[in-house]
Amino acid sequence: MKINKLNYKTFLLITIMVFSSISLMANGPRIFNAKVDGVALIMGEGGLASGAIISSQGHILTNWHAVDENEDMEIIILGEGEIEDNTYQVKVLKLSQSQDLALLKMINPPRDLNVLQLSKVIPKIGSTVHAIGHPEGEVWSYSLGYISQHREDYEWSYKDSDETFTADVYQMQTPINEGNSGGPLLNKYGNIIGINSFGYEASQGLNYAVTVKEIVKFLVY
Amino acid sequence: MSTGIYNSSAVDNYILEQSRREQEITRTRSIENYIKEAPYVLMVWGGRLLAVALLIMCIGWAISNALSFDRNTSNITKTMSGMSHSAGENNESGSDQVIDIDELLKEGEARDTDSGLSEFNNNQEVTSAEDVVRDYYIFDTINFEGDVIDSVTVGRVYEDPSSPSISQYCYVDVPQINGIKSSFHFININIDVRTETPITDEAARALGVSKSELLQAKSHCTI
Repeated sequence: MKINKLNYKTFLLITIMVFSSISLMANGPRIFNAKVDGVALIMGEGGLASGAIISSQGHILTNWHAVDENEDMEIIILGEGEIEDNTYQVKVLKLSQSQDLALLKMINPPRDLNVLQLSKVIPKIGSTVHAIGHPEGEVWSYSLGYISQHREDYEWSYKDSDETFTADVYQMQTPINEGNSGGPLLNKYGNIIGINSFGYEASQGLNYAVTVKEIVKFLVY
Repeated sequence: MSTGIYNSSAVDNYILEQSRREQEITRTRSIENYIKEAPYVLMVWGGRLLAVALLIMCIGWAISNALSFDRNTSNITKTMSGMSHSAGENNESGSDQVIDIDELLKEGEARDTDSGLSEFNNNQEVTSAEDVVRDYYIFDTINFEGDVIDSVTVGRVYEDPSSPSISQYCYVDVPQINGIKSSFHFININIDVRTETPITDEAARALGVSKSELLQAKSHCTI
């Protein structure tokens, strides 16, 4: 009888743990499926980059370095029909070199844009985050990682460039590559907590995203 | 040899009756004992249920804590009116706190417009003091959220800073697929002569805009 009772409790525990694990594992696919068409592909003569659609009017948030000297930019979003049907002209509304942020606006955007929202909640160190972008041209790719640290007034620069950048960033262990630049870093609710911006090639898991705090400053001022 | 037969029914009945009485006494005592024990049994089961509930709560709390986000009050400060809610509020309800992006964008646009105008005004003060500016223009951009048109522009031309405007006009820029913008002037006022361009189906079609959108945009002309 005692053994039976013990088995019952063990079974209950295991069931809870299994369901918790399943729900955790299911978070990635859920977020990707819900948010992937809120990520734009920015194409120009300078190369590919990612962008986050943040308004139904077609405002797109991305990196400054993704649009700098990137002529003839076009935006491609996921949608029904051919690529041409989902390609849009874009104009640059706002730039901040020091924060490495840029705001674009689609010309004649469709009405049914999937808009990503900005979270005002700061992620804990160690919390799970999700990135969607176009690493090395592998369009609309998903990656999963963790927040490693918060870095305030962090300075960085890019190779072959004289500009230096300073902003609050999240150091993260989320795989990003060229082409992820400007893409959204999402929390467990699928809301933007940062813009994936840069990483150190020689290191492992040292990648960075500009924080929402910087985005708010950029949008308002 | 004789065989004696005894009638023992009376004894049997007596024993049977005694047995029934004993059974009844036993049953009554069982009920009494059960009533006495019931609260203790209930307490035992309640304790077990409480333990299981606590266990589930602890596991849930651990999972929630592992996934939760810091409700840090220090980092996101109130940089704008739309962020009146502190980022430090508890977020145990399972939903995120989001920023009103539209409000942010509007505030940013308003600030950009203001800063552009103030810059222009500052320049105006400097240049008028030096008395070198002639024939200058002031543009007012009015936001318009149409399908194609995103702003209506009102321009005013002045001969010198102290004179009234010598001409005014109201127009929209309509972006075309080739990237070049086409302008459509709704109203031109040139020294009190007001000319309004009729908005026809043909004109709307040529611009790639609906006629109703053009009419709505025209209603924003403030001249």
